[in-house]
Amino acid sequence: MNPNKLRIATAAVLIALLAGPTPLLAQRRGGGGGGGGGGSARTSVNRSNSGSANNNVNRNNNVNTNNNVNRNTNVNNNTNVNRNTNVNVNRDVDVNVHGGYYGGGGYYGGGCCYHPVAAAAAITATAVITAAVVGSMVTTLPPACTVVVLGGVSYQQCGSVWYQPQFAGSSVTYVVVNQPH
Amino acid sequence: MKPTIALTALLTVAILSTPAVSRGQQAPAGNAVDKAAMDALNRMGTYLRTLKSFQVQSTTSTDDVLDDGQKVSSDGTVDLLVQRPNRMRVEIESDAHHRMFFYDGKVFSIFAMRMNYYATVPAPGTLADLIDELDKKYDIEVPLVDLFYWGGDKSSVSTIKSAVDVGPGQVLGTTCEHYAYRQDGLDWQIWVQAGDFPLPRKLVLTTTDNEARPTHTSVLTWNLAPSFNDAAFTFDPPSDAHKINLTNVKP
Repeated sequence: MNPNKLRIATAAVLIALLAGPTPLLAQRRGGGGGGGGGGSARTSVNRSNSGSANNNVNRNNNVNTNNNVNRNTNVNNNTNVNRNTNVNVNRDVDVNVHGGYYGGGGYYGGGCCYHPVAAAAAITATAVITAAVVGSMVTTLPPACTVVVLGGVSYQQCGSVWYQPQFAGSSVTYVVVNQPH
Repeated sequence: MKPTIALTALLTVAILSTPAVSRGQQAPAGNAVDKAAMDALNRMGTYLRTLKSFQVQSTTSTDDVLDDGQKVSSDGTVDLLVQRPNRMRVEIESDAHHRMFFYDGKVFSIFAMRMNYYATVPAPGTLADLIDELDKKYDIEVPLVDLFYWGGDKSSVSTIKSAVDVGPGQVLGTTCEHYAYRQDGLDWQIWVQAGDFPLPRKLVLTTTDNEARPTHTSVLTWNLAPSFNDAAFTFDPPSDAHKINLTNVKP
């Protein structure tokens, strides 16, 4: 294992640790194939040959195929749809509590904001620094991040680590970036 | 000599059992394409093509499969407003996500409401092209996307290997005809409204190339005379929303 890979693996483990309750971390893979589980129900009849769309945030996105929490990706290419998959790992987290839109407002009955990472907060400070490989991608941010807009681009600053949010499919993922100037 | 005998016995058994297995697989029950069931699908597709504007609200249930094969189910709602040929507004809500899509014939916007992120990209001039581009370029599936395929030349109807008319069935008090189809990797059922308005009222999709056989169910409520104005299809971001990129999966 070369040092780079080791670092990436460490990052993956640490991010996995940060990302929340272990059992539900089980990563869903592109469906089909059977074997080791994972996948989701197809949600359309006519898109069957759109095969490459597997369930993962990193499915067709080779920015960081090897250094993220989604270890079991691309097992097969015969799934489509339902990319909002990972249990908890990929759940929307209201990172910057805002007012509602279109009559929205607080969600979860006012008990705002599901934070799957809260339990792991104690190890966060060091772990994030170690884990933050620039270019790696996560589906969940550590706690206590701040939105910073620089040059019209939105970032999430979490301690000394900067993330840039993006839509990958209809899921939001975060790419670790160098500190913007 | 004992191993040889055992091996011979095994081979004999294998040879003897092979034809039996083949026979069993030759005529699986229900593996026929019922013409009436195919006609119903085509009739529904043709009818859907005639709708100039419509609103569909749907309640959904979708299985996800965990690594160990356990299924977990999540519910959601979809609200789809369409004006052909080039306007669409979608709201998708579940425990995990809340998304809105806006398409006005010029741009497509996606809004993650709880996170207050949005992205806007240039869009093709028709819904058909938009759906294709969202699928291929951005890996986004419009909910109930089958509504846009049925009755068109990109429909998967020709890949159906088995079609059965199950019989009458009620969906939310409406009398429907219930059909079941099989394609590679997918068993699916549809309840089509009986009478002059052959609308799909319920869909059940079972993914058969996954050992856990996860299922997706949608129950549809139709409004064929929706009221809306042009603003419904244009995204006006809240002042505190943040614009982010929509990743192009096939640059």
